[in-house]
Amino acid sequence: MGINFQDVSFAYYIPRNKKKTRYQLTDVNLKINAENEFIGIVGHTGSGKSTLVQLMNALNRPTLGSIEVLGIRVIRKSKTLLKPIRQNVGLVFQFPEYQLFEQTSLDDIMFGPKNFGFTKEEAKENALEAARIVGLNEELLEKNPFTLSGGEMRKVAISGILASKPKILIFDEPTVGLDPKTKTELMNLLVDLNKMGKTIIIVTHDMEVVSRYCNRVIVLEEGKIALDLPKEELFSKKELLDKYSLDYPVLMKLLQRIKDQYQVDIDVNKFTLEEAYLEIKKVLGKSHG
Amino acid sequence: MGNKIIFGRYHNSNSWFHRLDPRTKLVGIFFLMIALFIVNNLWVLLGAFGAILLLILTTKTPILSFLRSLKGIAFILLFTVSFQIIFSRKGEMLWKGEFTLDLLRILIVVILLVLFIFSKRLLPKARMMQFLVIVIGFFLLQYFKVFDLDFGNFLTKNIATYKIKIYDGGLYTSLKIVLRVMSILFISSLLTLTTKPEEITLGIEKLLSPLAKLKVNVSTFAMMISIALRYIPTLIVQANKILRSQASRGVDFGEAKLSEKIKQIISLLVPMFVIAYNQAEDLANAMEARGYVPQNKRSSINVIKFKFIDGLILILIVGLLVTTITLKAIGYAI
Ligand SMILES: Nc1ncnc2c1ncn2[C@@H]1O[C@H](COP(=O)(O)OP(=O)(O)OP(=O)(O)O)[C@@H](O)[C@H]1O
Ligand SMILES: [Mg+2]
Repeated sequence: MGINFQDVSFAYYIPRNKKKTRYQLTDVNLKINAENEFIGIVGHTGSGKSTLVQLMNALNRPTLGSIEVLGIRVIRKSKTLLKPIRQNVGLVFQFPEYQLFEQTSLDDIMFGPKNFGFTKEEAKENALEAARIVGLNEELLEKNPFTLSGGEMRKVAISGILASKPKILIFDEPTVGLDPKTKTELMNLLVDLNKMGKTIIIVTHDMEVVSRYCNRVIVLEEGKIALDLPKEELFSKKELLDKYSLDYPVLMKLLQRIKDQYQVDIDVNKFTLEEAYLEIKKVLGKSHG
Repeated sequence: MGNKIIFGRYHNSNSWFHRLDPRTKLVGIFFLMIALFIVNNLWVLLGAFGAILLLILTTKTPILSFLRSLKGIAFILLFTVSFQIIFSRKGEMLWKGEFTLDLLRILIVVILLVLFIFSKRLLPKARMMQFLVIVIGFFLLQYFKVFDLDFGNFLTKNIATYKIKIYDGGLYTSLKIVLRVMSILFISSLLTLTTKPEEITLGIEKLLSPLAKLKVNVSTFAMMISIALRYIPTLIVQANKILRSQASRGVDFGEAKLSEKIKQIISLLVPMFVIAYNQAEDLANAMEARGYVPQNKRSSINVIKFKFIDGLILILIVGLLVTTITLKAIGYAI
């Protein structure tokens, strides 16, 4: 069980003459597990990334086809209760700090769980736990969220989603507007959540992030899924990266250059500094040893 | 997409009406509306409505976009009219109907209602039609002698009798309401359909410019109006985003108790204020950075020119208004 798209097409607006519908997404078939996946969704602006993730928690409903989310089937006209879907598939929007509205950060974090039917005590417990996971200071929780810094506000907003205990977490461009340190902190948080067994899906333009953190990459182009493959496969095929004008991660560029220049047998598929360092060391060791 | 809501209304067919000075249109339409409120005679209103339709034809704008402006108030209009017709007691009685309530009819209405609710699911857009069908069906029932079949007198036993009387006064009044509302809606649509928003703001600015003598800063005022107009679509897009963020936090905007409803509205309003405030501040800074000084005189890309035809039309409309007022004052029933 997880998320299962079956021949899904989606249009925001359906004109009187249905034949003239312009679909923002067409013929999407997709399977996502509810555990342990770390998926990056990339594509040009306007390619339908945000539209796609909003289908996953039933904010958008498919115009054609059907989606099954954790055993609940969603079609265009479905009247099923969507709350369980919204709870289990947490969606963090771009600039989530704009969704804050309560008097204190703690109240704001508790807002989601209370809506999903947790009791006040449970909600508070969840909220405190979520705040701890994202590394929010206890004293910040009593403050008015609008007095916090941008990064802190974003943490509050993310805790607000975490506190509802979703199985799948989707982030729509989570790192936009954050400084490098906060960005790394946030990405490490996602890695931790992933290690706890949650499926993480991020929408991003940042191929460094994709190469470093994701296991699986979905490339959208003009509303269609162009590629859906493991990260290693994507980065080992230069022609694919070029075809969809995706950026090479810097480390790979470096390794590739060493490989081309010195004609050494070096594996360019290294995504972290440590791995790349070890690979270079290995090659150097061979030639100097 | 938000743009469509406010600005998509402009229809560029470059007719003579499009080319009129926006000031002429603003003033002219304002005067016409006053005249429409003064006039209270069915035939004059009918003539005015016909004239407006003719005017619309000459502007080459599709009549459909005018009808669309009716959509929002169609329901209220229908309600007012039916109330007028049923409850007004003016003039001569035209028709008298008696309708009796018995168990059978109640049963049938309940069945109709169930059908109505059920079919609403299938055809949400035809709601209005179904409502009409039910009401009409209800009134027709009493003429169907079919139901007078002797079921034993339990089902057809009279519970209550209602009398409906329709007077010609009510009919006239409601016709007048419809004509007046449609005329006013159509001419105000005529303004927005044939005039670009920039032209409207410029026209307002120019019209208000005499106020500058009273130390009112007219160009700032006009700037405020145009910025406000410009930001409505942006705010709609933002509101949609907030709506979706809160929905993914489990807010169910459809159904809730009153106390929850208030909370939901707050969860929408507070972020909207924050966003609007931030945007206003950013915009103010950006304008200042690009050298905007409120008191300075600024030139405009759009130039509006008061031509001969503008004068002619204004004289005509003013003449019309003066005539209307005079005739009314003398005591003609117009
Ligand atoms: N609420 C909406 N109503 C109508 N059309 C929309 C709406 N949201 C997005 N669209 C349209 O759907 C298409 C896909 O938009 P979407 O936001 O999913 O793209 P995206 O890949 O997330 O882009 P970005 O990288 O800029 O966020 C675009 O053409 C956009 O104009
Ligand atoms: Mg997007």
